[in-house]
Amino acid sequence: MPLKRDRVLSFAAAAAGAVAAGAVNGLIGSGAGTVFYFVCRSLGKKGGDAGKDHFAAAMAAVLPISLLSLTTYPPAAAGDPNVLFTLILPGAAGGLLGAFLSDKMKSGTLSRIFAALTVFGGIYLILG
Amino acid sequence: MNFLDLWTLPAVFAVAVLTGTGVGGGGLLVLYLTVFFGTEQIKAQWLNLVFFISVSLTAVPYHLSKRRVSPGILALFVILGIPGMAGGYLLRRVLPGDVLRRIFGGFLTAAGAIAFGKRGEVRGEEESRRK
Repeated sequence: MPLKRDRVLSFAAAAAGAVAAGAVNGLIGSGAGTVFYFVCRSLGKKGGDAGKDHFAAAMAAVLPISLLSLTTYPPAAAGDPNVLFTLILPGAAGGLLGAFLSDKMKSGTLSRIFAALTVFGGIYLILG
Repeated sequence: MNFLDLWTLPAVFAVAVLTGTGVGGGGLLVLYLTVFFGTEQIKAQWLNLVFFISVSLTAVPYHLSKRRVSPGILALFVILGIPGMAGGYLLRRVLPGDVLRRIFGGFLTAAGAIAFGKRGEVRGEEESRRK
């Protein structure tokens, strides 16, 4: 029954990926979306709008995990009005604009620039 | 963080747009906070979570309305992601901030390198299909 075995293996890989993504979120407060995305991309459908679907699934899954993760931190900046103006309002507006743009743009070049920035920043943090 | 800093609002807005489109961005905000503001790692992570939640509270309903999310996959990720998050939290409690910063840096480097590799792979497949 190779088909059933493949399904079981895919489920196990998705389950392991989900636990790993949660662990990354709990440990460093970000990165779960990246792990979820790679899991979806490896195991899910390919071509067409699949990339957008994988991203949407990853973002939707990270939201409740992030809400729970937030409660495990000391409220470092609670009561600081700057957080509202500098993070929450531009974050909400930018998120909505980004979601609309995701239907219209091809993100190839932007993704490569982003990947280069993350590699550079990561090395800086390791060495710094 | 300083509200009057001319660079902060555009930078945060740009990272939010990138996050909303799916290119990525949460990691960049932690990087921005730790490198340019000297924010300690734990506080930067907290601020990043607040930021990510505000981005996704507006972006996720849009994606859900486009029926891009499979409920089964979503349930699996959330149900198994929560115990994983608890494990990560327990580990975070015993690790010093400097170690967390290096782990975060290692994660960023690996994720960026994999993203680069995948892009190359996809482009190669597309080119061979065209030939």
